[in-house]
Amino acid sequence: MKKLVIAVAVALFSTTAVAADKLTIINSGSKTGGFSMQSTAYSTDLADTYDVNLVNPGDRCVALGSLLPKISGPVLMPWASDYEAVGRDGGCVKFDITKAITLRYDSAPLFVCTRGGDIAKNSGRVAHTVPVDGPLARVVAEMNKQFSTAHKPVVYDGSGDARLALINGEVDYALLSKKHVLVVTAADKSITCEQSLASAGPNSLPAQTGNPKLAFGWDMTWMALNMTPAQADRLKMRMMEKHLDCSTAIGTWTKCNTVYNTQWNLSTDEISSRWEPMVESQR
Amino acid sequence: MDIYYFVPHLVGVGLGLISGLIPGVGNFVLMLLVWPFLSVFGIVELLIMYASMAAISQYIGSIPAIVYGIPGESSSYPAVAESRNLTSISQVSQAISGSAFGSVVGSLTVVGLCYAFVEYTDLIKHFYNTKILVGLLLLVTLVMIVTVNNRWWVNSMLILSGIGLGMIGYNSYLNINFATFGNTYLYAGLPMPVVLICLFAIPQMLHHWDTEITKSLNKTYELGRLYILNPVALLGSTLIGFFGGLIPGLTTVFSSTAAYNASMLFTKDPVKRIVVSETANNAGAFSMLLPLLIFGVPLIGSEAILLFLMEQKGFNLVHFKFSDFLPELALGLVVVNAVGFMMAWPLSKMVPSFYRFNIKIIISLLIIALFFVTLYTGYMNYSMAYYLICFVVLAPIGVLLRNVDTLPLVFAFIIHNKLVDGLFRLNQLL
Repeated sequence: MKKLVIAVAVALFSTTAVAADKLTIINSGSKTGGFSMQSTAYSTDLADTYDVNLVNPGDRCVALGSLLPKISGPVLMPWASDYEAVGRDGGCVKFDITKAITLRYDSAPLFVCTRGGDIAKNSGRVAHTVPVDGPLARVVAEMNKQFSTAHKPVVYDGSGDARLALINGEVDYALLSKKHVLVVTAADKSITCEQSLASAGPNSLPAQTGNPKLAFGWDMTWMALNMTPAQADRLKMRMMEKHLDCSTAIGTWTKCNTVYNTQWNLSTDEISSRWEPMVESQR
Repeated sequence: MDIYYFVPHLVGVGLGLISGLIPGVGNFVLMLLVWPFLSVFGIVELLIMYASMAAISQYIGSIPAIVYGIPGESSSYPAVAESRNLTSISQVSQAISGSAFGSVVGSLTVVGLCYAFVEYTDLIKHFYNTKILVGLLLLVTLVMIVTVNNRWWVNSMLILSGIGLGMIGYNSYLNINFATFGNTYLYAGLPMPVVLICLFAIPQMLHHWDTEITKSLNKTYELGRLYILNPVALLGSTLIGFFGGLIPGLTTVFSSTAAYNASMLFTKDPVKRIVVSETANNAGAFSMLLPLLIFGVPLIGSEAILLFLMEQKGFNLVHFKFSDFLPELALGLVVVNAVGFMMAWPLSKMVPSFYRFNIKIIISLLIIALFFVTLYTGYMNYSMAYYLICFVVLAPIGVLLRNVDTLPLVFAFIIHNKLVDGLFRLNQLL
């Protein structure tokens, strides 16, 4: 009996001693979008270090409005500039990213994919993602002003639908992020995505024209909440380690870190100087 | 076929059984639940597992739909609606065996056609045309107004109500809030499982409330001769099912509903109507995979998870072609269809007969079970209290609608987004 008690005590002690830190990953995006897939990937990859609880309500209003306030422990959460723009314009939720510790900052400029036409010369239908009255509709209007074209914006509920519309010829151009560019050019060899809406670079339309209103992309952050700086640093190290390994779940999803321009060590000022203009441009 | 494909088949069949039998627990929820275990599969194994799950859920979903009037699987709603018109043991038996056989024909015909025309499968890209999609949605909605077993104006009201209920929430396409009243839960809209349970499953079951147990022979069946629908009807429903399966977000639900509506124009026989809809949804269960494998576009949530899992194993459109997968997939589906046929017909008798009990007790137990399904899905979505409130509000409406065929309402609720967004986009394109 005495041995049993000692064994139980030792087992309890050892379990406590090696118990992993708890980490809640809360997805603020839809259930089928990039944030959901990356949240799930992190929940798999970080399980060797953390006791991960993945919370995936599939809706940012529920995630931030109802669930986040109830979680007191360490949280990893993504947030996007277009979500913030909608929130500031009266949407259900917004989030002040300066109140959290930003671990990862992504920029995803859009590319102009075409079936052969030149968007600066040949007018056509331009596919972009929601909403109908959003910033991408304004970018198309700016193109018409800049190039004296008569492009018609056509709105699709997601990049997948916009991709298909370009493949089947319903539209002449589509504004897509790198992740989708890789897929659409692989699916149809006649489609090219040379020009980008990045603010700088060799094929940047804004740089070529000198018109900053043609720049567009999504900025995204992965933030640590309810963590000390030391805890956040440790988590960031683990995340970076997983990103560097292309065989991990997150390495696979990001196609070996090629789909986004990812920054890990931006200062608070640098983050604000990128985030705020991007959010305001999307309102 | 590689012997190692036995395991993904088995997993797919098991998941399909659960998905087909339990209302509200679909393939998406199951994929999320078993996610960690699926990472052991390779690309082909994942595909076979998914195709097996999708096919078996369609086979099994027809059994509770026909026998008990419970939509185990969301594409079985037409079978649920029509099951009330089955008036003899013979008809119920014919509906079960005919659906099983039709499902085999529908599924294998699509697989065979893909095999025969594998070089031309990328032509389905022309189907992804806003005009065609909106036209199809409007056509099915209009046909429903004149064919569903209510007066036309009742059907119209139900469709408008379904669209109205569906509109509640934040519409990301139009960037507007509708009837959210600042409530964060309402921004996400009314939960589909609760709406389907309260406004479709409950009224359908309560319709049988006053049925005397001695008169309820219509819900027992025997394993007699195999009922085989005429080849033209089978082929027609397969074609409708094939194209319905390609519609984003709706897939097999659209397949079965469109085929069911088309059958209403030609026959009043409930057996034929059920067989046609069940044939179509199995055809759609395979065709819905084509956009994923040819263009990398998932049409529903569970396919998005499948794509991600496959990408983790190295799947990309640069190195993989649909034709690479087809042989294993086709052979796998032959096996799965054999299993599905056995489960949906000969083995279906193993489902314990509820008819030894009072029909009121059975219905009460089922409604209690659905209540717990509601709580479970609410829990899975971190919104149990919200789901509970929606159930409490909507269930009494379902009770009031017990003598109305609410299929137009739930169909409109499901398609409202595609229809509203599609009409707006059509306006942009014209």
